[in-house]
Amino acid sequence: MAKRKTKTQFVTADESVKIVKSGDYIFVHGNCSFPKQIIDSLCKRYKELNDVKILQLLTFTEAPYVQPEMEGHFRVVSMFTGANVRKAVNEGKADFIPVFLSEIPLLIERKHVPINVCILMLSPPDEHGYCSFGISNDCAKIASEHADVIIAQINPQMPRVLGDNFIHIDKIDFAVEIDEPITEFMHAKNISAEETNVYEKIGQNIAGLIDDGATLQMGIGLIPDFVLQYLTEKKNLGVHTEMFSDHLIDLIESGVINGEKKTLLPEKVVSSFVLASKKMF
Amino acid sequence: MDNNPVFEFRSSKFVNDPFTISRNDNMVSINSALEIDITGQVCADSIGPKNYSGFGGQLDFIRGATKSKNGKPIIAFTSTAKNGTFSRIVPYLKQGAGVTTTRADVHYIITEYGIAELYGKTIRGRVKCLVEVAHPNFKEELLKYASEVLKIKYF
Repeated sequence: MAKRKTKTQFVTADESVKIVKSGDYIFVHGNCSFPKQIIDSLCKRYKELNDVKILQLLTFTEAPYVQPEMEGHFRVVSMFTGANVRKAVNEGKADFIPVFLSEIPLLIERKHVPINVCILMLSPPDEHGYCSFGISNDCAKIASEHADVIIAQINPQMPRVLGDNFIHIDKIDFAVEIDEPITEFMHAKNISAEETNVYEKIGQNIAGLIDDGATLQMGIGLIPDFVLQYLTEKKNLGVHTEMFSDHLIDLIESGVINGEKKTLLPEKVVSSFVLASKKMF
Repeated sequence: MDNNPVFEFRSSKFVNDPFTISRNDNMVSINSALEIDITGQVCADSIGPKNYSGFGGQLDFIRGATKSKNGKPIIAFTSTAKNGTFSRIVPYLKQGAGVTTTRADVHYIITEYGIAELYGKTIRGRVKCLVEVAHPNFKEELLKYASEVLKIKYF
């Protein structure tokens, strides 16, 4: 872990990004924790910065650093591509690293991808000084442990999600207090009756393979939504998943998912990030 | 989720590690795909040569569920795309497409037409069960390729 010489400075978004210099590698907190205002401040500096690499996984808001005028100043290095940078990757204006999500932390630890600056969104510090990574631990916690400089938006609306999911405020070089709603994730549900019929059959076929006491991993989208409809009569299901969405709420609240039969971390919903609406938070 | 002890959030280094995943008995992983060839190679991250998403955790969880006691790795998708004009089960992946999950890793393939269990099956056996879960409009094309190129003429 990089040595910290300075105490945390509480600054504005514009002030926080003055530390960034040309050629830096910047890891940006992704999923629904994208620190948009700090990134906007960074992008305002584009004319004075060259060849700054933006390391990112999935993000959902716009990606200002792939705008045409940013070329040569910022270059995205995607390790999982979303709609906002897909065009840039396929036009040769951004890069892509094929890598398993389990091994992105190894790329970081072994310096295959260096990190000069890590830009995060965190919950406010608790009475012991610890901020939660909230709804997105993914690779951000490990990225912060290997960064020279940490800039963090401290957002009171970020839930204090538990787990190995904390960083002490003293490790943050520049803290930016911005109170704003968390980006919600809503996926499209307006599908035709014919498509609904198709997804219902897929959901039934999957549910038929799920025994009572199973531990589930589900991705995102319509298929998990349709599977859950057919799990309401199951018993003692558990969750160990890289991510989840709103679809789990009902099964947790009804007790179908209780984690009692899990053989690793029983009773816990183990995950590394969530893409959901605010009712989940 | 705020301060709720039910939720245990950790790094993907832990959560997605196939060895960690395999410590859960009865692990069922459910992922999706863009296309699969009739030998079982799964593409989930690209459309031909164009990058679409990434590896994410698909193979992490497939390998973890494979090693889990009574584990079941599942890949599920609609049998067709683009309003029924394309089959997701294809003779061969699009030129330039990447393989996300190899044909040695793949287990259960699920569409609206049923469940194809590929693991441990011969190429001939895979063709048979993948054709069964393909959309009826595309079965003939798949069987023609199997016969002419793979020399699979009976099941």
